Amino acid sequence: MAGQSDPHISLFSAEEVEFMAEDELIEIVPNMRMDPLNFICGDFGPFLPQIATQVPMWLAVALKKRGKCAIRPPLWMSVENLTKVLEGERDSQGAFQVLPFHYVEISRLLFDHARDDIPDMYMVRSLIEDIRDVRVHKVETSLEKFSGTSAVKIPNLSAMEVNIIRPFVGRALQAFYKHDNPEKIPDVDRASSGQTRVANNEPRRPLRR
Amino acid sequence: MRSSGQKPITIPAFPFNFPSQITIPKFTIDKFFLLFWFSEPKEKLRDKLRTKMANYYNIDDILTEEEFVPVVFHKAANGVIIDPSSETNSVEQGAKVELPLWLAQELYLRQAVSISVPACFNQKTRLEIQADAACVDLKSRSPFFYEFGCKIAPLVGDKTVEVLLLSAFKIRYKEILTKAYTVAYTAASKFLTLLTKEETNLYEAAQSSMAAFKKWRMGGPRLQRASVLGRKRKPIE
Repeated sequence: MAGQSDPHISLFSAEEVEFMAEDELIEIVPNMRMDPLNFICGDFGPFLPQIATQVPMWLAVALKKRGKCAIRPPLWMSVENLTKVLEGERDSQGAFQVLPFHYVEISRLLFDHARDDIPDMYMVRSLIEDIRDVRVHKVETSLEKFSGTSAVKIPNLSAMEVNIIRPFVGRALQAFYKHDNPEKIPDVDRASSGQTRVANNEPRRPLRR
Repeated sequence: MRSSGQKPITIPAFPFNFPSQITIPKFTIDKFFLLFWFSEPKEKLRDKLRTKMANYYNIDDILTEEEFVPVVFHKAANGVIIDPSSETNSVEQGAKVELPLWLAQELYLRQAVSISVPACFNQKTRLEIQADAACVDLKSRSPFFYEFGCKIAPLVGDKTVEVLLLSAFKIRYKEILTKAYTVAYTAASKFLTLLTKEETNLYEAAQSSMAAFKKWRMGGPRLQRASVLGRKRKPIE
């Protein structure tokens, strides 16, 4: 991808992942009157006082900064739900609980810009920190089970968690592949050179005068 | 290719059959010289160059090929100074010498030498790896242990080298994983001295991505003010 900060190890920086998370939709309650906004990503509005509407995260944050709206925290961000998720994470060793793909980034953005809109902000914050720590630990233990070239499937992993382990896992799988079947690598080269030779041997079409 | 200037270098025409005795004029051998000196059919040479080119600028690949391997000469070679302290500048048939991998590989392809298993894959290392792979100091054996092993295995025709590499990597991988995400850098520095180049890369990839995430989580100023902004013009006196 063009925006990668370090293409060599194919890693997005955390800021880039946050940037992508800002496209997620969130509900706001405006306190001003404004015409609908027509963007490339879609039409949002109209904005009427006390009438809730869906906007992208970046727009919500921008309006919030100017004091034009209140952000409604997403449904999953309640103390009850998060407590349930945390218990689920601790109980099941292998599986991950269902959370939004960008839950780390969204919660960070809301904690930074909309602390007055979140009820029990400190409780919610510590719950999310705990959930994240438990999940990261679980990812590490599941990575320990690698022992050769295999397809890796870890459902319900979030964007930030994937981004943290990506450089390591990519390199590790590459190394496993190399040592698992060392004779396959030259085969690829031979196959590709064979193809080009076939292409060269094809009878040439006479040029049109 | 540097010539000390006694003899002109003549490059023979294709196809060139290997002579029973190699006579090499006095100059420093390098990879390119070898490629063109013992010339092969063009197609084969081009294929070979292409596979070589994939890693051509890779400094680790170059350094890997600098590792020494023990070889036995099947043919006598004149005018080659391999050991600076030797009396004659020739190598006899059956001589046992250590050559860098890139040279040994090319000579092996022309059946001038046979390669034996290098010291870093000897029985002692194997036993140590079987006992506890995570504690073996592979870096002192060879900083490019795995790549070197992959390159040498087809040349010596020893399948056990590949098995050894895989089993060593499997165990050491787990050790790197647990150290990379949990232990502080200072505590892990002793462990780091045991790692080969490839393993160090792996460790650093894990460390840096975790550090970048922690930095993001801690926050700090999101927008940095450009130094030119907000600088008031100096009052004119």
